[in-house]
Amino acid sequence: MDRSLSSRFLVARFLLLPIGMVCLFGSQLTRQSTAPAGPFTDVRASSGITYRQRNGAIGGKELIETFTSGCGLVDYDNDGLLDIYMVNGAATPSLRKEGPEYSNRLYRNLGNFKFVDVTQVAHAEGRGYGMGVAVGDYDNDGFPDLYITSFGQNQLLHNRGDGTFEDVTEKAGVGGGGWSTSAAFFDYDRDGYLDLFVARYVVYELGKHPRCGDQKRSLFSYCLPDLFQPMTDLLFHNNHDGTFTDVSHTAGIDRARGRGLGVTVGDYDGDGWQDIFVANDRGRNFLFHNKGDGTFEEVGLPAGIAYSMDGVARAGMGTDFGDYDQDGWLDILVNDFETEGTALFHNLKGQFFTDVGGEVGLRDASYPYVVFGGKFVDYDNDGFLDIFAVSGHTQDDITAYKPDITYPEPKLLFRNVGGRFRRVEDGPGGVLGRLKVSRGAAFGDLDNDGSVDVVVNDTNDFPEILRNMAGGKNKSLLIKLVGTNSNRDGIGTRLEVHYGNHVQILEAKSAASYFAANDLRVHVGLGTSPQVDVLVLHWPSGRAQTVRNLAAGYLHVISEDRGVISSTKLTVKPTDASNVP
Amino acid sequence: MNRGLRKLANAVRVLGCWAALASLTGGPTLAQNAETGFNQALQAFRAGDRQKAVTVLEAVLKAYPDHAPSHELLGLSLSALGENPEALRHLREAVKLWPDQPVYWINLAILYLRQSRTDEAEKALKQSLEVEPSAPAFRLLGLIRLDQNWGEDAVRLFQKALDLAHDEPESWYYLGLAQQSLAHSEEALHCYEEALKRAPGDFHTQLQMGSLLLSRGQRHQALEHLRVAQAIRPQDAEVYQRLSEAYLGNGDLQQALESARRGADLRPDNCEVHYQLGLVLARLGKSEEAKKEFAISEGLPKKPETTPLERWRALLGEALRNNGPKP
Repeated sequence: MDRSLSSRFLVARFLLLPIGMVCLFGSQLTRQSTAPAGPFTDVRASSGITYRQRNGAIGGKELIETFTSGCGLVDYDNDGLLDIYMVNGAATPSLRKEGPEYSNRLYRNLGNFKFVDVTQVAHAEGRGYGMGVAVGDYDNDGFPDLYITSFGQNQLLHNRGDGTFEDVTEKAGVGGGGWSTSAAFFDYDRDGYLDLFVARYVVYELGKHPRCGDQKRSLFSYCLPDLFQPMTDLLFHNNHDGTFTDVSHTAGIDRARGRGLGVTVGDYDGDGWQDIFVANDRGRNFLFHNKGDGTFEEVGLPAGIAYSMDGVARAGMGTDFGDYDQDGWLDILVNDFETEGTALFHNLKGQFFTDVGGEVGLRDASYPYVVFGGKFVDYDNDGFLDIFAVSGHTQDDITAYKPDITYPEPKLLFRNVGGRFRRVEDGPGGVLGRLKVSRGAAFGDLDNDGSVDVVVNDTNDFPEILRNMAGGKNKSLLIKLVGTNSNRDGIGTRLEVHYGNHVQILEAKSAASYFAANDLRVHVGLGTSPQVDVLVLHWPSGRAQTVRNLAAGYLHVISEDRGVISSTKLTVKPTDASNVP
Repeated sequence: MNRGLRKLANAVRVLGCWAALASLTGGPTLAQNAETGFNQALQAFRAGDRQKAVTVLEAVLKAYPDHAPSHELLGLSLSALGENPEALRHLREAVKLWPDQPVYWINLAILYLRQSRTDEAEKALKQSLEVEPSAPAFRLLGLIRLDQNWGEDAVRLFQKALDLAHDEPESWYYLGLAQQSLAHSEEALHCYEEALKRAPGDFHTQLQMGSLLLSRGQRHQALEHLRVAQAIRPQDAEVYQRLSEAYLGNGDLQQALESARRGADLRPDNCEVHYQLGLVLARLGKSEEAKKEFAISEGLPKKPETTPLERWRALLGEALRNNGPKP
């Protein structure tokens, strides 16, 4: 009897299998067509982007493997669409791009989230073991150039304006050396030309590190950075002739040594001069105050941003300046390590900062994660800066040490609600909860619909091209600056955006997040307001300019000497906003 | 055999040996002598005279080498005198002779923990739980998990400890720490509140509660707890550092300065306190003084992070004394 029951059961199973398969496929189809509406959706698979990051790990547990790589957004061909530059690692221990799989990649944006790989044609493969990228038009020729940081020599790729780049590192004198991480183009002396700041990490030699981990359990892991000496950062002054001079010493930058990872620039004290913030790993953060005479003073300690509230050094990574509470002063976001929590240094009128990360709800939500890339971004265009960050542990065997923690981690999206941040999560299958080992994250409007999209570089994985589905429910506009006396990109321009009862303070910059270069255009979320009533621009040259009645839904190009020179309608898709958190 | 019967059988075995020995050596006198000797040692142990306890117990064990309670008490006494390898030997002997005595296993685990032999401690605690589930064993296992950064399991174990002894403030406190390790601040605050209901005078809970509230920006509530902690331990530098942070956050610069100065006076070797003092001085516009404090802070070694288990280990001597032998 048992046997007959069993055989009947077997028959039933075989009979059911095809039906089950139909049901399975059917349910997948259904799921695809009714995918949960999240604020972002990953369109990489259909975008034509096939790049896959390689960190070159072969078991030696070289520290460089766990920090790379970043990415950048750059409209290299000036066609109005942001292109994507992905930085890649290299083979170890050669540190050479031994095959095409290690090449950096430049993807030209064809529109509608379609991209084509133009790396070879553009001569943008890069060399060595890449870390991050900075974007800026250092020679004011109207075409954005690329600066690629590496473990070893960095690389300056001059945009020739014909769709190709030329390696001008040697001529320009910006090769640096050691282990460079994030970099920023900005005009620290306001002479109309972009200078270059490069953060550096630790003194490191491949194969020379101790064997770290838990020997009792035969766990071989990445060493803590404390074992390695911190480095000085670099500042290169632009000589206006295609060359730079290393002024790290005379400018006072090399007086501080840290394990620099994240860099951002902004005028935190409102004196008209761009300052530099460096998020350091396991050491105090730096705030280089620009004294306006070509020198900087590191004021992190008295300003209160060096350590956590209780005086402990954290592991600073991605960072950004932004006025999250609209009090007119730029605050500082710093992504930190697991059990540290994201820091938000609230600016107390340009003199001091206090970490309000716990107070505003960031600390607890970020506490379990190692948060790398991330910045302020008004993802829903409601007029208030939200925060988008990506994470992934540094130890690939972390679960052996901490069973609650995984190597891949989720993304963190925080919505700004009256100065407090609430975590936004999407449902099963959503991109926010999906676990990845993410590093660099670059932010910009890839489809010119007025909403900020995100590109994420994931370790040994495909990147994520996250299309913003949430911005369409509010109004927004983009501003592209064209400097004439100031640097061509207008980097460092402060924008006072007045609409209704709101005033937003924004600054034009590319450097923020982690190892990343972001959209140089200034994105302004306007909530329900149909226009910006008054826009006051404070250009780095010192010129103040007022523009009125800028309509929402447009990209406005504003020249330093001619005002608005064009307004192009954005491809806003309001239907994208249905059921989106 | 069920647990009760097994315990009884073992007790008969252990006690039966002494009875047999007594009958062979001339009646109850020797057994009574063993008990008398043990009780004498216990009195000395409780009075803090560990050396006397050791002398008496060694004599008892010379005559009665299988007397499990004497092995246990000798282990505890030797441990208090810092003779850990010998202490461990006697506690191991005690559990071998009387494996169904859960407290012996727990004390053995404590000795292992004192020597950072976490794996062996864990095994001993599991043995103890097999004999009889108890709050101390769950709590210690929870601490081990917390030390291993396994917060979720630590929460589960502390909750089990509370299921068995709901009113033990220690378990609430440690459950709070475990919740905090998972960034569950609301739950942690609830646990500390429960702990304080039962032991309002506990310094560690008041400080932890105050610090957590402070990190959440709830400065006024934080100050209430920190002031209580200050009253309990007016010589603790960390309390003054936290008080200074809270006052600074409230814009009360003078109070912030006083607290920071007091903290720095109490712990001139603490870099965090000097950093805090520097911050306050900078806010007061005293840049030169601030610079000096920052320089002192930067020149001092950074305080190594201590885990809950390490903190707890430091209190183990006290714990052992309080635990005492329970034959």
